Amino acid sequence: MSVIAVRGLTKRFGSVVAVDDLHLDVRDGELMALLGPSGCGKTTTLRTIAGFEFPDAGEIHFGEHRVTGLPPERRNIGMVFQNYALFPHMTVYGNVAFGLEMRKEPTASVRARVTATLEKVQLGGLEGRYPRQLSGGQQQRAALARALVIAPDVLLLDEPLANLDAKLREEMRFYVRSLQQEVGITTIYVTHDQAEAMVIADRIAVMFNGGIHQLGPPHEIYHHPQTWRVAEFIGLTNFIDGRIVGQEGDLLVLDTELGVLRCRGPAGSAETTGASAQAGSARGRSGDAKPERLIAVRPEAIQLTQGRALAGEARLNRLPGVVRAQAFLGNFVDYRVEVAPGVLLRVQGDPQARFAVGDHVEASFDPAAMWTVPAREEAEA
Amino acid sequence: MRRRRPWPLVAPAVALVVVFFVLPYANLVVMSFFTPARTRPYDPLLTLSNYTSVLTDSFQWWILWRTLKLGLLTTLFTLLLGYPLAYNLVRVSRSVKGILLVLLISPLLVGVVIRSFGWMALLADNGLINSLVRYGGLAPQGFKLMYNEFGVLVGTVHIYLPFMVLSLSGTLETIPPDLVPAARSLGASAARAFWRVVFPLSLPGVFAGCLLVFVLAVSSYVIPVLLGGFKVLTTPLLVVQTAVDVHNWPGAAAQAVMLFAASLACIALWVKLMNRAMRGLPG
Repeated sequence: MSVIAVRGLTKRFGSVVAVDDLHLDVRDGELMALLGPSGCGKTTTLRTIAGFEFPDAGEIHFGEHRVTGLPPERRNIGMVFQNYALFPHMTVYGNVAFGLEMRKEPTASVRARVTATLEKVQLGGLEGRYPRQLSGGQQQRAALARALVIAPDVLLLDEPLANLDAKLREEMRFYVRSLQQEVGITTIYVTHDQAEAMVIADRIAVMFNGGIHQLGPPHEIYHHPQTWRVAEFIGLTNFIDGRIVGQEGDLLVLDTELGVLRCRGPAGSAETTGASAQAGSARGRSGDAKPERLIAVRPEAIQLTQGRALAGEARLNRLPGVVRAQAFLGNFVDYRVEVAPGVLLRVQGDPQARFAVGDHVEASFDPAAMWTVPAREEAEA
Repeated sequence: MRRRRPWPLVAPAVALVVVFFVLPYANLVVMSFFTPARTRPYDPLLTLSNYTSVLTDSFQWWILWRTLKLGLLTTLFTLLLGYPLAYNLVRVSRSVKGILLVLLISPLLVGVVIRSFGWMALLADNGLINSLVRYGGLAPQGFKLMYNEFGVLVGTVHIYLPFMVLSLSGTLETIPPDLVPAARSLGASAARAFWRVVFPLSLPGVFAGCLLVFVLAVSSYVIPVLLGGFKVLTTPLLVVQTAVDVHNWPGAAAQAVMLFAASLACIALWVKLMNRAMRGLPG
């Protein structure tokens, strides 16, 4: 029933604007990831929602409750910190019971709830251990138990998996996700790891410079990035400068340094419009008036061929090139193909058909697998 | 894995302690069992009379109590004044911290005699504070601020405060900064977060700081002399008087041993108390 609504949130530290007029709505039971590079304001946003920082402007609501000016202890939040922040002088039991003791729960009820929650995170039997006697993964789960046992209205996670080793981190993603769904708690999850955000989130808010550039489900963020920053941050992307010179059906015709290319037009990405409209800082739509665009192509959307005619629309965009580097990575081959002097495209090719460095190839890409974003100058303005 | 033998590394420190602490103290203890003499420090005749006269003298006990009281009060006030100082010291930015640390330690650069004279200029009957008090008409007689226990306490608290702050801030530094936000997120007010999380974790610093200040305060000599003006006698003053003025070295030694034993008893009590309080703390 709890929905987090952030309206016009602004937070400055001295002359630095950490969060700039940010709007965010988290739906009931949803897991929203705040994704962005360090310094983008995602942690400040979370700390402001938690009440550790107070905004210079804007409002925060949990459901109907306005919490903007409330101290953290009166917001009923559960929070997990990057280093877990378990109390080192208390046992696992003491840590998990802490929030209930602050709420003056009767001892019997504390005992029952702590035990049940520890069972839920598979830490039953470790009540008497101190945090330093637990493994990283166990500390992580103890921190989750401590945050969840108080039945908070919202769960706030600040890079909770960043301190775990790679293998455990991957396991814990699924674990955190299933636990969140089991409890059904509205959650904000801060991370700089796009794969983590993709796995765990219902929706992702991609942040740069204190604002949200794009907000949507993971597949939409990946397939339809709306600014070059988002496209560059999420996955690998080739960018080609171009000017819109015409339209053929629902394909845009663009003049580029590599010749004329055809690309999926605005109609092809219409489904993203609704979701991105609430991401106030996405400057995508209005940019169509200006002809300067960046064409974006994912490395896996480019096909490499040698003297073989392709069927379908991929024929429309064909660039001759020379393989300059290749690396075999098991499930794909990573190529760098020079399609014009000094212009290298990243291509992820089929490991069945391998090309050698120096091979002359044809790089073709389907207009449907391409999209355009406003040119860099505009996006930075 | 072969265990490395630590003794080659600790040998210099052990030697230093043995030569400059253990041997002089052993000498003192031995001396306290010898007979006082007129023309030399003592006659090497074993006796218990030094102790019987010290232990049966209620004046000696009263002075000892006063000395320990000075130590306890100094410890208490440096803790009360030093804790907020240390707490904020670890929270300021690195550059500000450097400046504050220099300010904190700078009194140690000036000798204890000079600093005590500084306090005398402030606390004397016609000193700065009393001049202002009289000028303001608060109390026409002024206040008795010096040559009493209050004056001595002001001096010891001021001079030993840096030791307390350094010891506290050393421990407070090690407390992860996210623990207080974590406690707040779980429903603890700022005050409860402090008492339930920060204070228990700072106990090792409290323990060490109090120990240090207490030991320094009970053995201080210059401050009671200058700010107490021989009106506030403590055991160290008495020891020096007995040895130098009365020329009773064995008697002075017995008094020193008595102070040493009493301090040790206080410390043992403190260690026991704090060990119980610090059970469960990491490290």
